[in-house]
Amino acid sequence: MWGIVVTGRLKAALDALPPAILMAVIAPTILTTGIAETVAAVLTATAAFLRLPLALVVVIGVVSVVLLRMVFS
Amino acid sequence: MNLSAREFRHGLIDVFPILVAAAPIGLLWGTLAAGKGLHPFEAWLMSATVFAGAAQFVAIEVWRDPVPWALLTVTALIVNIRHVLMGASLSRHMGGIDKRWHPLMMFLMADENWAFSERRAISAPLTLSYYLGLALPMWVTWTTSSIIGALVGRSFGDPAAYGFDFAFSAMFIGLLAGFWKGTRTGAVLGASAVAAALAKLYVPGAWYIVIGGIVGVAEAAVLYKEGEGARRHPFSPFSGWRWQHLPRVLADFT
Repeated sequence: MWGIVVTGRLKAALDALPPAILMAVIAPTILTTGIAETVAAVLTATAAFLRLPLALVVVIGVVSVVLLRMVFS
Repeated sequence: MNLSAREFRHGLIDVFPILVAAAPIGLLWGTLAAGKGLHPFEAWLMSATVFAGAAQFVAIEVWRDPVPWALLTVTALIVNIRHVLMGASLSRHMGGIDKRWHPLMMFLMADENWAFSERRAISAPLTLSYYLGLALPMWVTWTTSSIIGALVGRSFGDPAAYGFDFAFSAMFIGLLAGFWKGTRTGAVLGASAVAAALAKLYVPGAWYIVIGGIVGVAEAAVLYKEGEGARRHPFSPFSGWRWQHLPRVLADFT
């Protein structure tokens, strides 16, 4: 494409850009808000790794954060 | 321009499962937008003109008064930079379509209709009708679900009361799983997360996104070892496209 081939270390760095940005967007919410949010993020990540549909992953995250806030508040 | 109802229908059939998956995400975005004070019409207008899910979620997440437009511009560009390369790839198959339609086609390009169009182009010439059969229903679904979400969201009130404020984080966690390539991805994500969280605490404004992104990229560069060029990933716009990756790409997007 355009005769440009990006390889090696530069390619590895550029490939990492989208996930690094996605992570940076949500990191304050899941790490610095409270225990409920952090634990809910772990549960959501588990659901995501099981390759559940995206909508179901979101539902699991929302339900778990509501329940965990009841526990930890 | 000869439009073919049959081609349009083929596109519609292909994209239908994507529409079912996109509608709840549009509803969610509309709800969050209403929670940040956007009028339902403003929410609709943003979905209609931006038409990029991830960028819109990021925009709403950092939305405040005054709007941090420089940050929004930079992050939207970074989140969507892949479209530059996807568009370049798709343009190879657009030769048979009147040039006047090309800007509209690029505006309507989303991950899903791009992937379907690339697949279609293997076995048949890409037609405008097929492309519009994919793209127009997506645009209608995305904008309609956004405004419904915003209307419903206004009557809900505070999204935090229902855990909706966490829905955005949950969706990004779901998207991140699609980028997982092994423990090294974990190291990149960990570096990005720690840097962003610290930046959020100690740096004014919303620059934590850019800071976390840069630290994650630096981590990836540091961890890279020479001679690993063979490891490719279909998401990477910089690696050679392999058609056998397509089912996995589609599975990741849906």
